Amino acid sequence: MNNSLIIGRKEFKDILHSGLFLTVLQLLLALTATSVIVSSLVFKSQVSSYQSSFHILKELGKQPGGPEPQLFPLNLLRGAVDYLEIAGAILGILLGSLTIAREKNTQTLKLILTRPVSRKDLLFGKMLGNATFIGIVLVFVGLFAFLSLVFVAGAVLALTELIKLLLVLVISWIYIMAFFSLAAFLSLGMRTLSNALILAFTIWLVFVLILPQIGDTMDPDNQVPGGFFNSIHFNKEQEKQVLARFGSYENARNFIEELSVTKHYERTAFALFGIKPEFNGMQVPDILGQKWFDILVTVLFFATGTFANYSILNKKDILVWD
Amino acid sequence: MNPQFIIDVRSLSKKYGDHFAVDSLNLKVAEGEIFGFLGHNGAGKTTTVNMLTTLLQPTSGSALVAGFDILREGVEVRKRIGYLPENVQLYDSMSAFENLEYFAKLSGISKPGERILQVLDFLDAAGYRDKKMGTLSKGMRQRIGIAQAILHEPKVLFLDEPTSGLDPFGVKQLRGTLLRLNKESGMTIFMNTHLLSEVTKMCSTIGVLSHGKLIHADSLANTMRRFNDESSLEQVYLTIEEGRYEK
Repeated sequence: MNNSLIIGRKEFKDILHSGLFLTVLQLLLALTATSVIVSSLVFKSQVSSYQSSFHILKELGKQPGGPEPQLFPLNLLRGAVDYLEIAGAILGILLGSLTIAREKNTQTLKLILTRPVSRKDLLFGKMLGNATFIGIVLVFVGLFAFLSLVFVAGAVLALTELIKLLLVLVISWIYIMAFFSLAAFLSLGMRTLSNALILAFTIWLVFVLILPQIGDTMDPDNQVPGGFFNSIHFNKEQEKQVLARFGSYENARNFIEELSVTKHYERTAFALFGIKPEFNGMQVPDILGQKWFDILVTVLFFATGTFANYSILNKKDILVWD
Repeated sequence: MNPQFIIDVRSLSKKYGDHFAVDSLNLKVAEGEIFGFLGHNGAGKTTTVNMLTTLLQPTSGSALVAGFDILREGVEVRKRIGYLPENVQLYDSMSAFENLEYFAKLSGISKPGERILQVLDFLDAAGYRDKKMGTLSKGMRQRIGIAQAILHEPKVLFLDEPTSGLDPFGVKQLRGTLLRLNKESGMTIFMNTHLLSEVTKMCSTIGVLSHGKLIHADSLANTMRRFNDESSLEQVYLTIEEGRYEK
Protein backbone atom coordinates (compact mmCIF):
# COMPACT_ATOMS: atom_id res chain seq x y z
CA MET A 1 0.00 0.00 0.00
CA ASN A 2 1.14 3.52 -0.73
CA ASN A 3 2.85 5.19 2.25
CA SER A 4 0.52 8.21 2.16
CA LEU A 5 -2.45 5.86 2.42
CA ILE A 6 -0.90 3.95 5.33
CA ILE A 7 -0.19 7.19 7.21
CA GLY A 8 -3.57 8.68 6.26
CA ARG A 9 -5.48 5.63 7.45
CA LYS A 10 -3.71 5.64 10.80
CA GLU A 11 -4.23 9.39 11.20
CA PHE A 12 -7.96 8.99 10.55
CA LYS A 13 -8.24 6.11 13.04
CA ASP A 14 -6.36 8.13 15.66
CA ILE A 15 -8.77 11.05 15.32
CA LEU A 16 -11.76 8.72 15.61
CA HIS A 17 -10.34 7.03 18.70
CA SER A 18 -9.43 10.35 20.31
CA GLY A 19 -13.09 11.16 20.88
CA LEU A 20 -12.71 14.36 18.87
CA PHE A 21 -14.98 12.99 16.16
CA LEU A 22 -18.01 12.63 18.41
CA THR A 23 -17.42 15.92 20.20
CA VAL A 24 -17.03 17.93 17.00
CA LEU A 25 -19.89 16.16 15.31
CA GLN A 26 -22.27 16.71 18.21
CA LEU A 27 -21.28 20.38 18.41
CA LEU A 28 -21.74 21.07 14.70
CA LEU A 29 -25.01 19.12 14.49
CA ALA A 30 -26.37 21.00 17.49
CA LEU A 31 -25.37 24.31 15.89
CA THR A 32 -26.94 23.33 12.56
CA ALA A 33 -30.17 22.31 14.26
CA THR A 34 -30.17 25.54 16.28
CA SER A 35 -29.71 27.54 13.08
CA VAL A 36 -32.64 25.84 11.33
CA ILE A 37 -34.93 25.96 14.37
CA VAL A 38 -34.23 29.63 15.12
CA SER A 39 -34.55 30.67 11.45
CA SER A 40 -37.78 28.67 11.06
CA LEU A 41 -39.27 30.36 14.11
CA VAL A 42 -38.27 33.79 12.79
CA PHE A 43 -39.79 32.97 9.40
CA LYS A 44 -42.99 31.66 10.96
CA SER A 45 -43.30 34.81 13.05
CA GLN A 46 -42.81 36.92 9.88
CA VAL A 47 -45.58 34.96 8.13
CA SER A 48 -47.93 35.22 11.09
CA SER A 49 -47.19 38.95 11.44
CA TYR A 50 -47.89 39.40 7.72
CA GLN A 51 -51.13 37.46 7.99
CA SER A 52 -52.38 39.39 11.00
CA SER A 53 -51.54 42.71 9.27
CA PHE A 54 -53.29 41.39 6.15
CA HIS A 55 -56.51 40.66 8.13
CA ILE A 56 -56.42 44.00 9.96
CA LEU A 57 -56.07 45.88 6.67
CA LYS A 58 -58.90 43.83 5.12
CA GLU A 59 -61.17 44.55 8.09
CA LEU A 60 -60.38 48.24 7.71
CA GLY A 61 -61.49 47.91 4.10
CA LYS A 62 -58.01 48.60 2.71
CA GLN A 63 -56.22 46.69 -0.03
CA PRO A 64 -53.15 45.04 1.50
CA GLY A 65 -49.93 45.67 -0.44
CA GLY A 66 -46.70 43.69 -0.54
CA PRO A 67 -46.27 39.99 -1.08
CA GLU A 68 -46.43 37.34 1.62
CA PRO A 69 -42.97 36.36 2.90
CA GLN A 70 -41.69 33.54 0.75
CA LEU A 71 -39.70 30.65 2.18
CA PHE A 72 -36.32 30.03 0.59
CA PRO A 73 -35.29 26.96 2.59
CA LEU A 74 -31.53 27.43 2.23
CA ASN A 75 -31.88 30.89 3.82
CA LEU A 76 -32.56 29.03 7.05
CA LEU A 77 -28.96 27.78 7.06
CA ARG A 78 -27.42 31.24 7.45
CA GLY A 79 -26.62 30.55 11.10
CA ALA A 80 -25.00 27.24 10.19
CA VAL A 81 -22.57 29.10 7.91
CA ASP A 82 -21.82 31.60 10.70
CA TYR A 83 -21.09 28.72 13.08
CA LEU A 84 -19.04 26.79 10.53
CA GLU A 85 -16.81 29.75 9.76
CA ILE A 86 -15.92 30.09 13.44
CA ALA A 87 -16.01 26.50 14.72
CA GLY A 88 -14.69 25.05 11.46
CA ALA A 89 -11.62 27.28 11.58
CA ILE A 90 -10.98 26.21 15.19
CA LEU A 91 -11.33 22.55 14.19
CA GLY A 92 -8.84 23.07 11.35
CA ILE A 93 -6.37 24.81 13.68
CA LEU A 94 -6.57 22.09 16.33
CA LEU A 95 -6.13 19.25 13.85
CA GLY A 96 -3.35 21.02 11.97
CA SER A 97 -1.42 21.99 15.10
CA LEU A 98 -1.43 18.49 16.52
CA THR A 99 -0.99 16.36 13.44
CA ILE A 100 2.82 16.47 13.21
CA ALA A 101 3.72 18.25 16.46
CA ARG A 102 2.31 15.30 18.46
CA GLU A 103 4.62 12.89 16.64
CA LYS A 104 7.53 15.27 17.12
CA ASN A 105 6.98 15.22 20.88
CA THR A 106 6.79 11.43 21.14
CA GLN A 107 9.71 10.96 18.71
CA THR A 108 7.61 8.64 16.53
CA LEU A 109 8.27 11.10 13.72
CA LYS A 110 11.91 9.99 13.78
CA LEU A 111 10.78 6.40 13.43
CA ILE A 112 8.59 7.22 10.44
CA LEU A 113 11.27 9.29 8.73
CA THR A 114 13.92 6.60 9.11
CA ARG A 115 11.69 4.28 7.05
CA PRO A 116 11.64 4.48 3.27
CA VAL A 117 9.01 7.21 3.59
CA SER A 118 9.42 10.56 1.85
CA ARG A 119 8.42 13.80 3.52
CA LYS A 120 5.88 14.25 0.74
CA ASP A 121 4.30 10.89 1.76
CA LEU A 122 4.19 12.10 5.36
CA LEU A 123 2.54 15.42 4.50
CA PHE A 124 -0.01 13.98 2.10
CA GLY A 125 -0.76 11.07 4.44
CA LYS A 126 -1.44 13.46 7.31
CA MET A 127 -3.55 15.69 5.06
CA LEU A 128 -5.45 12.71 3.70
CA GLY A 129 -6.41 11.45 7.16
CA ASN A 130 -7.53 14.86 8.37
CA ALA A 131 -9.27 15.77 5.10
CA THR A 132 -11.25 12.52 5.27
CA PHE A 133 -12.24 13.25 8.85
CA ILE A 134 -13.33 16.81 8.04
CA GLY A 135 -15.15 15.57 4.93
CA ILE A 136 -17.10 12.98 6.92
CA VAL A 137 -18.04 15.53 9.57
CA LEU A 138 -19.31 17.86 6.82
CA VAL A 139 -21.29 15.08 5.16
CA PHE A 140 -23.03 14.49 8.50
CA VAL A 141 -23.63 18.23 8.89
CA GLY A 142 -25.06 18.40 5.36
CA LEU A 143 -27.34 15.42 5.95
CA PHE A 144 -28.49 16.83 9.25
CA ALA A 145 -29.13 20.24 7.68
CA PHE A 146 -31.21 18.56 4.97
CA LEU A 147 -33.21 16.54 7.51
CA SER A 148 -33.71 19.61 9.72
CA LEU A 149 -35.00 21.62 6.75
CA VAL A 150 -37.41 18.85 5.81
CA PHE A 151 -38.64 17.83 9.25
CA VAL A 152 -38.25 21.00 11.33
CA ALA A 153 -38.98 23.70 8.76
CA GLY A 154 -41.26 21.52 6.62
CA ALA A 155 -39.38 22.61 3.50
CA VAL A 156 -39.16 20.73 0.22
CA LEU A 157 -35.77 21.01 -1.44
CA ALA A 158 -35.44 21.08 -5.21
CA LEU A 159 -32.47 19.45 -6.94
CA THR A 160 -30.83 22.86 -7.51
CA GLU A 161 -31.00 23.56 -3.79
CA LEU A 162 -29.43 20.21 -3.00
CA ILE A 163 -26.60 21.02 -5.42
CA LYS A 164 -26.13 24.40 -3.74
CA LEU A 165 -26.00 22.70 -0.33
CA LEU A 166 -23.40 20.27 -1.66
CA LEU A 167 -21.30 23.12 -3.08
CA VAL A 168 -21.36 24.94 0.25
CA LEU A 169 -20.11 21.76 1.92
CA VAL A 170 -17.26 21.53 -0.61
CA ILE A 171 -16.23 25.16 -0.09
CA SER A 172 -16.52 24.64 3.71
CA TRP A 173 -14.17 21.66 3.41
CA ILE A 174 -11.61 23.80 1.54
CA TYR A 175 -12.00 26.58 4.11
CA ILE A 176 -11.40 24.26 7.09
CA MET A 177 -8.47 22.57 5.32
CA ALA A 178 -6.97 26.01 4.72
CA PHE A 179 -6.84 26.60 8.48
CA PHE A 180 -5.52 23.06 8.94
CA SER A 181 -2.63 23.86 6.57
CA LEU A 182 -1.92 27.17 8.27
CA ALA A 183 -1.78 25.58 11.73
CA ALA A 184 0.34 22.64 10.51
CA PHE A 185 2.77 25.12 8.95
CA LEU A 186 3.05 27.12 12.17
CA SER A 187 3.57 24.01 14.30
CA LEU A 188 6.32 22.85 11.95
CA GLY A 189 8.04 26.20 11.78
CA MET A 190 7.96 27.12 15.47
CA ARG A 191 9.96 25.50 18.23
CA THR A 192 7.08 24.93 20.61
CA LEU A 193 3.53 23.84 20.04
CA SER A 194 2.25 26.41 22.52
CA ASN A 195 3.79 29.29 20.53
CA ALA A 196 2.36 27.88 17.31
CA LEU A 197 -1.10 27.60 18.89
CA ILE A 198 -0.95 31.15 20.27
CA LEU A 199 -0.03 32.52 16.84
CA ALA A 200 -2.65 30.39 15.07
CA PHE A 201 -5.40 31.59 17.40
CA THR A 202 -4.24 35.21 17.08
CA ILE A 203 -4.58 34.86 13.30
CA TRP A 204 -7.98 33.23 13.83
CA LEU A 205 -9.07 36.08 16.08
CA VAL A 206 -8.02 38.75 13.58
CA PHE A 207 -9.12 37.12 10.33
CA VAL A 208 -12.17 35.14 11.46
CA LEU A 209 -13.65 37.44 14.08
CA ILE A 210 -12.27 40.98 14.07
CA LEU A 211 -11.93 41.89 10.37
CA PRO A 212 -15.34 40.51 9.31
CA GLN A 213 -16.89 42.16 12.37
CA ILE A 214 -15.39 45.54 11.42
CA GLY A 215 -16.71 45.08 7.88
CA ASP A 216 -20.18 44.17 9.14
CA THR A 217 -20.26 47.07 11.58
CA MET A 218 -19.29 49.50 8.83
CA ASP A 219 -22.02 48.18 6.51
CA PRO A 220 -24.89 50.75 6.61
CA ASP A 221 -27.37 48.02 5.65
CA ASN A 222 -26.53 46.15 8.86
CA GLN A 223 -27.53 49.03 11.16
CA VAL A 224 -31.19 47.96 11.29
CA PRO A 225 -32.40 44.36 11.71
CA GLY A 226 -33.71 43.11 8.38
CA GLY A 227 -31.61 45.66 6.50
CA PHE A 228 -31.59 49.45 6.61
CA PHE A 229 -32.55 49.92 2.95
CA ASN A 230 -35.26 47.30 3.20
CA SER A 231 -36.73 49.09 6.21
CA ILE A 232 -37.11 52.31 4.22
CA HIS A 233 -38.41 50.35 1.21
CA PHE A 234 -35.47 51.15 -1.07
CA ASN A 235 -34.90 48.70 -3.89
CA LYS A 236 -31.46 47.49 -4.99
CA GLU A 237 -31.10 50.26 -7.58
CA GLN A 238 -31.91 52.99 -5.07
CA GLU A 239 -29.54 51.40 -2.57
CA LYS A 240 -26.75 51.49 -5.15
CA GLN A 241 -27.43 55.14 -5.88
CA VAL A 242 -27.16 56.03 -2.21
CA LEU A 243 -24.00 53.99 -1.67
CA ALA A 244 -22.42 55.55 -4.78
CA ARG A 245 -22.25 58.78 -2.80
CA PHE A 246 -20.05 57.04 -0.23
CA GLY A 247 -17.65 55.40 -2.69
CA SER A 248 -14.45 55.78 -0.65
CA TYR A 249 -16.14 54.58 2.51
CA GLU A 250 -17.52 51.52 0.72
CA ASN A 251 -14.13 50.77 -0.84
CA ALA A 252 -12.43 50.96 2.56
CA ARG A 253 -15.07 48.67 4.07
CA ASN A 254 -14.75 46.21 1.21
CA PHE A 255 -10.95 46.24 1.49
CA ILE A 256 -11.09 45.37 5.18
CA GLU A 257 -13.53 42.54 4.50
CA GLU A 258 -11.43 41.17 1.65
CA LEU A 259 -8.42 40.79 3.93
CA SER A 260 -10.28 37.97 5.63
CA VAL A 261 -10.54 34.55 4.02
CA THR A 262 -13.55 33.98 6.26
CA LYS A 263 -15.40 36.79 4.51
CA HIS A 264 -14.63 35.28 1.10
CA TYR A 265 -15.94 31.93 2.31
CA GLU A 266 -19.00 33.58 3.81
CA ARG A 267 -19.76 35.54 0.64
CA THR A 268 -19.66 32.35 -1.43
CA ALA A 269 -21.78 30.36 1.03
CA PHE A 270 -24.28 33.20 1.48
CA ALA A 271 -24.63 33.60 -2.29
CA LEU A 272 -25.26 29.88 -2.77
CA PHE A 273 -27.78 29.87 0.08
CA GLY A 274 -29.41 33.02 -1.29
CA ILE A 275 -29.01 34.97 1.95
CA LYS A 276 -28.69 38.14 -0.15
CA PRO A 277 -32.04 38.34 -1.98
CA GLU A 278 -30.46 39.02 -5.38
CA PHE A 279 -29.05 35.48 -5.42
CA ASN A 280 -32.37 33.78 -4.69
CA GLY A 281 -33.52 31.88 -7.73
CA MET A 282 -30.20 32.46 -9.51
CA GLN A 283 -28.73 29.44 -11.29
CA VAL A 284 -25.66 27.76 -9.83
CA PRO A 285 -23.25 28.61 -12.71
CA ASP A 286 -24.30 32.28 -12.51
CA ILE A 287 -23.65 32.38 -8.76
CA LEU A 288 -20.27 30.69 -9.19
CA GLY A 289 -19.48 33.12 -12.00
CA GLN A 290 -20.25 36.09 -9.77
CA LYS A 291 -18.37 34.67 -6.81
CA TRP A 292 -15.31 33.31 -8.64
CA PHE A 293 -12.94 35.70 -6.88
CA ASP A 294 -14.14 34.69 -3.40
CA ILE A 295 -13.85 31.01 -4.33
CA LEU A 296 -10.40 31.59 -5.79
CA VAL A 297 -9.14 33.35 -2.63
CA THR A 298 -10.37 30.46 -0.44
CA VAL A 299 -8.78 27.85 -2.70
CA LEU A 300 -5.54 29.89 -2.94
CA PHE A 301 -5.33 30.14 0.85
CA PHE A 302 -5.53 26.34 1.07
CA ALA A 303 -3.09 25.80 -1.80
CA THR A 304 -0.57 28.27 -0.36
CA GLY A 305 -0.78 26.58 3.04
CA THR A 306 -0.19 23.17 1.48
CA PHE A 307 2.76 24.43 -0.53
CA ALA A 308 4.23 26.16 2.54
CA ASN A 309 3.99 22.90 4.48
CA TYR A 310 5.65 21.00 1.67
CA SER A 311 8.49 23.53 1.51
CA ILE A 312 9.11 23.61 5.24
CA LEU A 313 9.00 19.81 5.52
CA ASN A 314 11.73 19.55 2.92
CA LYS A 315 14.01 21.67 5.06
CA LYS A 316 15.39 18.58 6.77
CA ASP A 317 16.37 20.11 10.08
CA ILE A 318 12.87 21.26 10.84
CA LEU A 319 11.76 17.91 12.22
CA VAL A 320 14.71 17.00 14.38
CA TRP A 321 15.65 18.98 17.43
CA ASP A 322 18.53 17.90 19.62
CA MET B 1 31.86 1.41 -1.77
CA ASN B 2 34.23 -0.45 0.46
CA PRO B 3 32.33 -3.63 1.37
CA GLN B 4 34.38 -4.05 4.53
CA PHE B 5 32.90 -0.95 6.11
CA ILE B 6 29.19 -0.72 6.49
CA ILE B 7 29.50 2.84 7.80
CA ASP B 8 32.03 5.09 6.16
CA VAL B 9 31.93 8.71 7.33
CA ARG B 10 34.00 11.32 5.51
CA SER B 11 34.63 14.78 6.95
CA LEU B 12 31.05 15.01 8.16
CA SER B 13 30.13 18.30 9.82
CA LYS B 14 27.01 19.88 11.22
CA LYS B 15 27.00 23.54 12.12
CA TYR B 16 24.31 25.41 14.05
CA GLY B 17 25.00 29.12 13.72
CA ASP B 18 28.67 29.51 14.66
CA HIS B 19 28.79 26.28 16.62
CA PHE B 20 29.96 22.97 15.17
CA ALA B 21 27.86 20.18 16.70
CA VAL B 22 29.91 17.70 14.65
CA ASP B 23 33.24 18.80 13.23
CA SER B 24 34.91 17.00 10.29
CA LEU B 25 34.09 13.55 11.55
CA ASN B 26 35.89 10.63 9.88
CA LEU B 27 34.79 7.22 11.02
CA LYS B 28 34.59 3.67 9.69
CA VAL B 29 32.58 0.81 11.17
CA ALA B 30 33.07 -2.71 9.88
CA GLU B 31 30.14 -4.99 9.12
CA GLY B 32 28.97 -7.14 12.01
CA GLU B 33 30.52 -4.96 14.72
CA ILE B 34 28.89 -3.57 17.82
CA PHE B 35 30.21 -0.04 17.84
CA GLY B 36 30.00 2.02 21.02
CA PHE B 37 29.90 5.75 20.39
CA LEU B 38 30.93 7.51 23.58
CA GLY B 39 30.96 11.13 24.59
CA HIS B 40 29.76 13.59 27.17
CA ASN B 41 26.35 15.27 26.93
CA GLY B 42 26.24 17.59 23.94
CA ALA B 43 29.31 15.98 22.35
CA GLY B 44 27.43 15.50 19.07
CA LYS B 45 26.60 11.78 19.25
CA THR B 46 22.88 12.19 18.55
CA THR B 47 23.54 14.72 15.80
CA THR B 48 25.87 12.21 14.15
CA VAL B 49 23.24 9.46 14.33
CA ASN B 50 20.59 11.87 13.02
CA MET B 51 22.76 12.57 10.00
CA LEU B 52 23.61 8.91 9.39
CA THR B 53 19.93 7.98 9.55
CA THR B 54 19.14 10.78 7.03
CA LEU B 55 17.07 12.76 9.53
CA LEU B 56 19.44 15.73 9.44
CA GLN B 57 21.16 17.37 6.53
CA PRO B 58 24.94 17.67 7.10
CA THR B 59 26.50 21.09 6.64
CA SER B 60 29.39 19.48 4.79
CA GLY B 61 31.01 16.12 4.20
CA SER B 62 29.38 12.83 3.34
CA ALA B 63 28.84 9.30 4.54
CA LEU B 64 28.02 5.92 3.13
CA VAL B 65 25.73 3.66 5.12
CA ALA B 66 25.36 0.09 3.83
CA GLY B 67 27.02 1.32 0.65
CA PHE B 68 24.60 4.17 -0.04
CA ASP B 69 25.17 7.90 0.18
CA ILE B 70 23.15 9.53 2.96
CA LEU B 71 22.72 12.69 0.90
CA ARG B 72 21.79 11.34 -2.50
CA GLU B 73 20.35 7.90 -1.70
CA GLY B 74 18.34 8.53 1.44
CA VAL B 75 15.59 6.06 0.62
CA GLU B 76 18.08 3.26 -0.08
CA VAL B 77 19.87 4.02 3.21
CA ARG B 78 16.58 3.96 5.12
CA LYS B 79 15.64 0.59 3.65
CA ARG B 80 18.76 -0.86 5.24
CA ILE B 81 18.76 0.73 8.69
CA GLY B 82 16.77 0.37 11.87
CA TYR B 83 16.64 3.13 14.44
CA LEU B 84 15.59 3.48 18.04
CA PRO B 85 15.85 7.04 19.42
CA GLU B 86 16.26 7.78 23.11
CA ASN B 87 12.98 7.76 25.06
CA VAL B 88 10.78 6.91 22.12
CA GLN B 89 7.16 6.40 23.15
CA LEU B 90 5.52 4.65 20.16
CA TYR B 91 1.73 4.94 20.02
CA ASP B 92 0.24 4.44 23.48
CA SER B 93 -3.33 3.88 22.31
CA MET B 94 -2.31 1.07 19.96
CA SER B 95 -1.30 -2.46 20.91
CA ALA B 96 2.27 -3.65 20.48
CA PHE B 97 1.17 -5.65 17.43
CA GLU B 98 -0.62 -2.67 15.85
CA ASN B 99 2.44 -0.48 16.39
CA LEU B 100 4.68 -3.07 14.75
CA GLU B 101 2.22 -3.62 11.92
CA TYR B 102 2.20 0.11 11.14
CA PHE B 103 5.99 0.35 10.98
CA ALA B 104 6.23 -2.92 9.07
CA LYS B 105 3.91 -1.54 6.40
CA LEU B 106 5.91 1.67 6.20
CA SER B 107 8.99 -0.50 5.71
CA GLY B 108 7.34 -2.16 2.73
CA ILE B 109 6.57 -5.52 4.37
CA SER B 110 3.30 -6.41 2.65
CA LYS B 111 2.15 -9.27 4.94
CA PRO B 112 3.76 -8.39 8.23
CA GLY B 113 1.87 -10.68 10.63
CA GLU B 114 4.22 -13.64 10.47
CA ARG B 115 7.37 -11.50 10.67
CA ILE B 116 6.01 -9.59 13.68
CA LEU B 117 5.34 -12.80 15.58
CA GLN B 118 8.81 -14.08 14.70
CA VAL B 119 10.44 -10.89 16.01
CA LEU B 120 8.29 -10.84 19.15
CA ASP B 121 9.27 -14.45 19.80
CA PHE B 122 12.93 -13.60 19.34
CA LEU B 123 12.60 -10.78 21.88
CA ASP B 124 10.59 -12.91 24.35
CA ALA B 125 7.73 -10.45 24.00
CA ALA B 126 5.10 -12.59 22.25
CA GLY B 127 2.86 -12.49 25.35
CA TYR B 128 2.60 -8.72 25.04
CA ARG B 129 1.44 -8.52 21.43
CA ASP B 130 -2.11 -7.43 22.27
CA LYS B 131 -1.24 -5.14 25.19
CA LYS B 132 -1.61 -1.42 24.66
CA MET B 133 1.76 0.30 24.58
CA GLY B 134 0.63 2.71 27.27
CA THR B 135 0.27 -0.15 29.75
CA LEU B 136 3.75 -1.66 29.23
CA SER B 137 6.77 -1.24 31.48
CA LYS B 138 9.72 0.83 30.30
CA GLY B 139 11.76 -2.32 29.68
CA MET B 140 9.03 -3.96 27.62
CA ARG B 141 8.43 -0.76 25.65
CA GLN B 142 12.12 -0.69 24.85
CA ARG B 143 11.90 -4.27 23.59
CA ILE B 144 8.95 -3.38 21.34
CA GLY B 145 11.01 -0.39 20.22
CA ILE B 146 13.84 -2.75 19.24
CA ALA B 147 11.27 -4.96 17.49
CA GLN B 148 10.08 -2.09 15.29
CA ALA B 149 13.69 -1.32 14.42
CA ILE B 150 14.59 -4.84 13.29
CA LEU B 151 11.32 -5.92 11.63
CA HIS B 152 12.62 -5.31 8.12
CA GLU B 153 15.94 -7.06 8.88
CA PRO B 154 18.16 -4.00 8.53
CA LYS B 155 21.90 -4.24 7.99
CA VAL B 156 22.65 -1.56 10.57
CA LEU B 157 20.82 -0.87 13.79
CA PHE B 158 21.26 2.62 15.29
CA LEU B 159 20.49 2.92 18.99
CA ASP B 160 20.57 6.17 20.92
CA GLU B 161 21.13 5.59 24.64
CA PRO B 162 19.15 2.34 24.56
CA THR B 163 19.57 1.65 28.28
CA SER B 164 18.43 5.10 29.39
CA GLY B 165 15.84 4.82 32.14
CA LEU B 166 16.04 1.02 32.43
CA ASP B 167 16.55 -0.75 35.74
CA PRO B 168 19.55 -3.13 36.07
CA PHE B 169 17.38 -6.11 35.15
CA GLY B 170 16.12 -4.32 32.04
CA VAL B 171 19.67 -3.32 31.09
CA LYS B 172 20.83 -6.92 31.42
CA GLN B 173 17.94 -8.21 29.30
CA LEU B 174 18.50 -5.62 26.60
CA ARG B 175 22.21 -6.41 26.51
CA GLY B 176 21.44 -10.11 26.06
CA THR B 177 18.98 -9.33 23.27
CA LEU B 178 21.41 -7.11 21.36
CA LEU B 179 24.29 -9.56 21.68
CA ARG B 180 22.04 -12.37 20.42
CA LEU B 181 20.83 -10.23 17.55
CA ASN B 182 24.37 -9.39 16.54
CA LYS B 183 25.52 -12.99 16.83
CA GLU B 184 22.58 -14.65 15.10
CA SER B 185 21.91 -12.20 12.28
CA GLY B 186 25.28 -10.49 11.96
CA MET B 187 23.55 -7.14 12.24
CA THR B 188 25.89 -4.20 12.80
CA ILE B 189 24.91 -2.20 15.87
CA PHE B 190 25.87 1.45 16.26
CA MET B 191 25.14 2.49 19.81
CA ASN B 192 25.34 5.91 21.45
CA THR B 193 25.83 5.42 25.14
CA HIS B 194 27.00 6.85 28.41
CA LEU B 195 27.21 3.54 30.20
CA LEU B 196 30.82 2.43 30.04
CA SER B 197 30.04 -0.83 31.81
CA GLU B 198 27.73 -1.77 28.95
CA VAL B 199 30.36 -0.85 26.39
CA THR B 200 32.81 -3.20 28.09
CA LYS B 201 30.30 -6.03 28.00
CA MET B 202 29.02 -5.53 24.48
CA CYS B 203 31.11 -3.47 22.09
CA SER B 204 33.88 -4.69 19.85
CA THR B 205 34.91 -1.18 18.79
CA ILE B 206 34.54 2.24 20.36
CA GLY B 207 34.72 5.82 19.24
CA VAL B 208 34.98 8.81 21.56
CA LEU B 209 33.48 12.09 20.48
CA SER B 210 34.23 15.30 22.31
CA HIS B 211 32.87 18.71 21.33
CA GLY B 212 31.98 17.40 17.89
CA LYS B 213 35.40 15.92 17.16
CA LEU B 214 36.34 12.27 17.12
CA ILE B 215 39.24 11.98 19.51
CA HIS B 216 39.61 8.22 19.60
CA ALA B 217 38.45 5.22 17.57
CA ASP B 218 39.77 1.70 17.91
CA SER B 219 38.80 -1.80 18.95
CA LEU B 220 37.99 -2.14 22.62
CA ALA B 221 40.83 -4.63 23.05
CA ASN B 222 43.39 -2.29 21.46
CA THR B 223 42.10 0.62 23.48
CA MET B 224 42.48 -1.26 26.74
CA ARG B 225 45.98 -2.41 25.71
CA ARG B 226 47.03 1.09 24.76
CA PHE B 227 46.00 2.47 28.11
CA ASN B 228 47.17 -0.50 30.12
CA ASP B 229 48.03 1.68 33.07
CA GLU B 230 44.35 2.34 33.63
CA SER B 231 42.27 -0.07 35.65
CA SER B 232 38.93 0.33 33.88
CA LEU B 233 37.29 1.67 30.75
CA GLU B 234 36.05 4.57 32.83
CA GLN B 235 39.65 5.57 33.58
CA VAL B 236 40.57 5.09 29.92
CA TYR B 237 37.65 7.24 28.82
CA LEU B 238 38.57 10.02 31.24
CA THR B 239 42.22 9.88 30.15
CA ILE B 240 41.18 10.19 26.49
CA GLU B 241 38.86 13.09 27.23
CA GLU B 242 41.39 14.86 29.43
CA GLY B 243 44.04 14.35 26.78
CA ARG B 244 41.95 16.24 24.34
CA TYR B 245 41.47 19.11 26.74
CA GLU B 246 45.27 19.37 27.16
CA LYS B 247 45.55 19.87 23.40
